Amino acid sequence: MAQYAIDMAKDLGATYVDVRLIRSRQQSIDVKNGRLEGVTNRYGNGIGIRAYIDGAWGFAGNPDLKLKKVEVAVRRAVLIAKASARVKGEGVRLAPVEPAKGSWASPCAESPFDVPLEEKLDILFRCNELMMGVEGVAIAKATMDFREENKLFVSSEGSVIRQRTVQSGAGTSATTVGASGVQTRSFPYSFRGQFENRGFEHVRRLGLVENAERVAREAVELQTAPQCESGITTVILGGNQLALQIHESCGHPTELDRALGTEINFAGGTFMQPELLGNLKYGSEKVTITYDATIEGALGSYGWDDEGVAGQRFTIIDRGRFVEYQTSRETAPILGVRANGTMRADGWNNLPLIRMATVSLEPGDVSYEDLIAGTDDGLLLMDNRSWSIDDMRVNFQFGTELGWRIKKGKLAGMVKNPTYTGTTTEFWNSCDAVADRASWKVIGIPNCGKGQPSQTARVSHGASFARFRNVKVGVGYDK
Amino acid sequence: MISEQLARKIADEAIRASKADETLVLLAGGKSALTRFATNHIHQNVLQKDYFVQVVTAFGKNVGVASSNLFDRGELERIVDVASTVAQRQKEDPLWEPLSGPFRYELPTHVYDEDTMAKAPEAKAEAVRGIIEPCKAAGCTAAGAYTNGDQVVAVANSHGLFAYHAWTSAELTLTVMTPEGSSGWAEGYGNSLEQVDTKALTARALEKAVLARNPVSLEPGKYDVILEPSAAATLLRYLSIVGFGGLAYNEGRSFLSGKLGERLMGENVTIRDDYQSGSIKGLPFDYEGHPRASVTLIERGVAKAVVHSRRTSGAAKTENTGHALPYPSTYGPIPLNLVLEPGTISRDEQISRVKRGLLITRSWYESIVDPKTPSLTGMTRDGTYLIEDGKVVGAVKNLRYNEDLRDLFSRVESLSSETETTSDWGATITTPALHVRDFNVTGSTK
Repeated sequence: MAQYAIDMAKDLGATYVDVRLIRSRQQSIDVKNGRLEGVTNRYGNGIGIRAYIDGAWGFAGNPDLKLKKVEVAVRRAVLIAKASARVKGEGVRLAPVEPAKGSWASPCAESPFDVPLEEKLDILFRCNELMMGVEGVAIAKATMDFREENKLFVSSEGSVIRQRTVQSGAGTSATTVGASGVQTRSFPYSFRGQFENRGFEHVRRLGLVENAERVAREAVELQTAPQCESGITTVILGGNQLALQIHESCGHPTELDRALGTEINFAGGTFMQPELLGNLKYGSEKVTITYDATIEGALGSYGWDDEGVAGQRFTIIDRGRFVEYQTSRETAPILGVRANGTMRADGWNNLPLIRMATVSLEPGDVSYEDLIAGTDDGLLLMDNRSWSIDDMRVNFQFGTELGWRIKKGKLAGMVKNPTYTGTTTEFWNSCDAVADRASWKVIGIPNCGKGQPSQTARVSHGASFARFRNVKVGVGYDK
Repeated sequence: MISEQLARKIADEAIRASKADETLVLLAGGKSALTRFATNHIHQNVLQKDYFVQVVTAFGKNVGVASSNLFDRGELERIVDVASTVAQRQKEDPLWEPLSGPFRYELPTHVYDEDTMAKAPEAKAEAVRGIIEPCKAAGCTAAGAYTNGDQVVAVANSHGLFAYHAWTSAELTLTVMTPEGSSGWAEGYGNSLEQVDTKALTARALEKAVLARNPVSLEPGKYDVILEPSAAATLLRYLSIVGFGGLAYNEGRSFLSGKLGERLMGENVTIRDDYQSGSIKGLPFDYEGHPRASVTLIERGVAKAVVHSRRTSGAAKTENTGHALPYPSTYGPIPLNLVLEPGTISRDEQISRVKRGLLITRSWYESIVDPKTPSLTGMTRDGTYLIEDGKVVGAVKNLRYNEDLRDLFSRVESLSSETETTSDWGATITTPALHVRDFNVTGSTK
């Protein structure tokens, strides 16, 4: 089927064609306040065809894989490419890549689709029961999300790649409503929990039931916790808050398509322009940030990207210095750099964009305990609640579910509604310590949005804990 | 496009295959042709086509859901089977209310434009050239997305309900950038390509980009601002997401919880949800087939109502307003066609009344900081200007704000007589420009 589509597109004038055939299934389960809110099973199939003619792209997809329907999609992709060529600018040149033949699969010891529903519900209802048993909890939620995608990629250059990805995610949250407004605590992380490219074995290891009561008690405690003070202080970030900080202030701004202006109309551009490559002191010497598509089980991992380029590891920020972009076959030649295999599409019905895989702050050389002990006065912030950054990725503001005061090297009580703000390079240059590998984890972010039409990518970030000095906190509450 | 006849056939087959006490079928999807351009050339040009059919089966109050994007008999039987198996193996949903019988609907007219669907890729490319050329001639670059497409939603259930609606839509979003890096934005929406005036939008974005050159820094503080409709629509959308839905209201999470009948905003503020308003008409029924009522949410500053679905209205012991999202809709019902009633003076008159303040084109990357207040942070973008003595005198660097949204709508000095409709994440919002006092600027970009 794929080869038929490619041959037909070439006969119609395409000089490069790639085809993705995808079959997928998903399951989402939501339990809330002792009720099953819903169990949804979704199935999808389709073909996506990208055609390159006269220096321009066209793309069309179709869910129907009957031959006649595929032919329609091929003709559409070709027609669109020819139309695009009328307004093509300097035209597209693709970086050469060796055709790849192979297969890849994410690790999966236990398919989540083979686990009985009753077993999943038992876990979720038990979490709910424990949370609702804590006085003051208004809303207790427990969720699971599973996804399996089987993808065949074929290109006119001879690549034939099969990839199977199984993803599992689960989480809980407890919400209280009171004098302090709406307060929520999540476990293991906000955004429906922790996601990995693994089977149900991942869910079993999360400790959802074991942590349910603690999470609920913290949500209750937040109602009477003091308000996070406003001012300038030292901040230690951990958990999915540090992951999101990396995501927004390094992952996105180092996507080369953003730097070249092709995302201006939606997500924006980036202050990290090509003239800064190799020259920008992005952060302190403690800051090394890497891209890695090869970490086993990480949500962002894959074997090959959607251009047939092998998933790989490279350094974006090397001891504070900006050294490499995330690139594609189309963008790399513009700067004369290599295509480093970052193009991924959301399903069969979208064309690929430059996307993060696992973008990580590499671990440092101090233990988490010493990081805290070495902080005289500050805040520990984990578990994201709000996030915002400007269109050039400079000014940001984040909020977390709670903060812990640090006084004379010890955690000294909870604060509610913590927020902090800053500008990217000032912030990362204030990083004076990063915790070591003992507390380093890969955290899955299942909902990264980009592109027009909008697409969702599943990405991840490796992070331990990191300390930043002279950070403005308490924004939005300093009336 | 899936015709009404085909939609009925698919729904009937699914219902016939089901042995559940009640069955609900939702069919939705469409075609979308998006021509994306940047740095003065078309760089991504796509045609997407997809539909899904969702089957909800209820055995008593035991409910299961399954969906697929294939509609042959075998696939329909399979997803009915999956939904039924799930329903029978899990616990009761105590909030499940019986499905409704047939309704009559007030369908918006003139919403399907054949010419919009027939627009060929070559013709669209030429239209995009017409957008790019004036920007190029001015030494600027254009980036945007020019989209045309159609959508269909059909709902049927085992009590004989059948609802079908199809419509076309068109939109242009455009960012123009000067060589110095300043930018200007324009957006237009309609049920047809004809309604989207690409020439006027290009001129607007270009003018804004040029005026945005040489921006100065501004200190944090409280400022009088004129929020253009794009910016005003965004703030209203977030107010709606956290406040106007029946689930948040019932759970005490909404700023309206327990406050219906109280004055919470300025007397000049009236907010409705009405699918017949604006330049893009909305869906006349919800995703369970209930007719979508026009609901006055805030009337002259007084909190009047929230929107409800079958499930939330049952819990609140009030009327279903027909705002359900696709089952199970853990988010709850939300308004999808907001209208902020306009005022009586022009936007230019609003500007002339500002001694010192800001003209804000749009807001970007907003995030709810505190959902109950509700407070919001975001950045300005693509055209932020300084007003002095009633005139726009120059540009400022993009600003961060932190605002209490309910309180903001108490500080509305005036609303313009002109309104615009924007479309975002499946919702339409029709607003005038707002003159707001004491807008809280807390930072800026460099």
